Amino acid sequence: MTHHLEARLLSSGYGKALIIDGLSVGIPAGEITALVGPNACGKSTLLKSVARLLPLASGSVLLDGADIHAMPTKQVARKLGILPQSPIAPESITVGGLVWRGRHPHRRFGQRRTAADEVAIADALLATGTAELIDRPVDQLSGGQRQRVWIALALAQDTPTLLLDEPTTYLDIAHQIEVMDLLAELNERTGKTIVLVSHDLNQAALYASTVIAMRDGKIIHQGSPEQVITEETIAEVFGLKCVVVPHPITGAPQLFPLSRKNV
Amino acid sequence: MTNSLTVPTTQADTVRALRRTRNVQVRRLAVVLATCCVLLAGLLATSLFLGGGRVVAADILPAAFGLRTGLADYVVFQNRLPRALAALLSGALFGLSGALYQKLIRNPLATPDIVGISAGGSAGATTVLILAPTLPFGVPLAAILGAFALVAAIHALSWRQGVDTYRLVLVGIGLSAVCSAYTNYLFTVADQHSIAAAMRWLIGSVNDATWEGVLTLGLALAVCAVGVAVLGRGLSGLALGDELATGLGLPVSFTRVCALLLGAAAAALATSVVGPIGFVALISGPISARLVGGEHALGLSAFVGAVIVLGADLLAQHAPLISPVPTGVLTALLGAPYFFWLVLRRGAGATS
Repeated sequence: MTHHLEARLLSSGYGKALIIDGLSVGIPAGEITALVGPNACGKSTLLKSVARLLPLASGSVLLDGADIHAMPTKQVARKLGILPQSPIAPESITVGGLVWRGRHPHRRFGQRRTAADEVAIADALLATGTAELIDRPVDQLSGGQRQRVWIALALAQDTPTLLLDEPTTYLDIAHQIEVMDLLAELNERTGKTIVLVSHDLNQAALYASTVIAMRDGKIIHQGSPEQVITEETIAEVFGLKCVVVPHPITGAPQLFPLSRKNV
Repeated sequence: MTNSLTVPTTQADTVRALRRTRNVQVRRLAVVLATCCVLLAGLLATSLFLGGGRVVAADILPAAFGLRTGLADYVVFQNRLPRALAALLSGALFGLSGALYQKLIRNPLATPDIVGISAGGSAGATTVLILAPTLPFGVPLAAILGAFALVAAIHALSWRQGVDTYRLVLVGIGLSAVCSAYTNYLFTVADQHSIAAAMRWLIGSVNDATWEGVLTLGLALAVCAVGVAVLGRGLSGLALGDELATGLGLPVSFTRVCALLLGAAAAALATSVVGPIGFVALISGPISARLVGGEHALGLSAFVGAVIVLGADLLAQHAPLISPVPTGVLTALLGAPYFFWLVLRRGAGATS
């Protein structure tokens, strides 16, 4: 299995408090990987550290074998895209204008919009089904539309690897599935490596080929959904009693939590 | 064949729609900019020609280019022209600095005058004017230093893993009060002559504008215009939030520090020449955003600010019933209702 994104003995956190201490992980190339775990387990911290949004206390992040902290940040941005959990839409900006900002890493200083930029923006809008919103102000969109526009921005960045921090939070179930389907289709069509932080274990099991379960800043299990989404692991990682059954159509493991009165 | 109503379904269609959207915006920006320029030219000419019959109209234009002597030279070249230019340039600086801070801090209230930067500039400038008035370039330099000191203090007191706007505005108001108290203290130890000169910082008027002041403002505007142009892309990236901007490979901290200092210098220099002309920094940015949308508003806010101050100064000099009053009184009359509207709109739970 090839890794083009790898963390080695990574320690990181906010201020002096380390959330992650000495963690190593390899992300399989060309696949969808889901990071799961209870609140404050360090999954977002790991994602942000890997994407150089947080300074590392120690350790290194390797992208195609090169240390990303030793590379010019703009060069990293041509290979690795990240959609944070709550990006901010500037006031009165259009969808087209917002997605255009994803092209920054590909533009030299003072360079105007090129035909290649336009094609990348158009492809990103079409892939996310937001082309019809092109001249709409972002602040007038619904939550689902807005999330697709943010993903369009990340796609316009045109990176082989894309990290997403809880891309389906705040969306209703239909829009959640729409976003996950979109990511799955992108992965299938372009071979893009996708890493996402998720709170929904069932969706992680449905869409990811690798699941990484974290607790207290450490990786407890990494493997296929069948290996990780088990009654034992869920009890170990979340302290939750549940039953796991195969999805009636796909066979992916799906969990049903048990409340105290069921036990 | 496609028309503008069809949903773009192919790459070529979408690129066309993209260009169309872009062209509409660019055309709109061009129209608004041209309108501002015409307005500015008109206001500039009006302010040269208005003002009593002591100068013959035929002498005014030649005098404006320094080609007349005596009364015409004094009234037009030494008095009306520098006054009008000071109004125009300081308005541009106020507008730009306000829009820059609003964009950077993502809050329509966070302008340099409200968060105390201008008060820091005034304190610095007053110090030099009263204690060391003979220092060459002392006043503008002290104004910049005072403003930078305030930026550093506010940054140190209110930045916690990003900006907490509530804390920032509170810290700004507190520091602003400290600076005003210090400035007032200086007045108690100064002699009469210095007080008269320093009063400018308390009232805000282009009344006493000189060519030296115009030169200071012109240089400041040139530097700020270049700075904003260079930082432009970083600034539009910062508007997406620090995390996304970092992910896009933008120099986030560098851009923010440069822009904070640039905006502080612009506000301090404008204040050091014409005093605190209120509300211009607050309203120029939002007006520009309403006119052309958020993507192109920053540059336009300089033009809008210039129109506001030049227009307000004309009214301040010549409006019936109220004139003559200091320019700042007029901008406050224009700006205060907008301010209340903003507060009420926020209070009603509207988000932006």
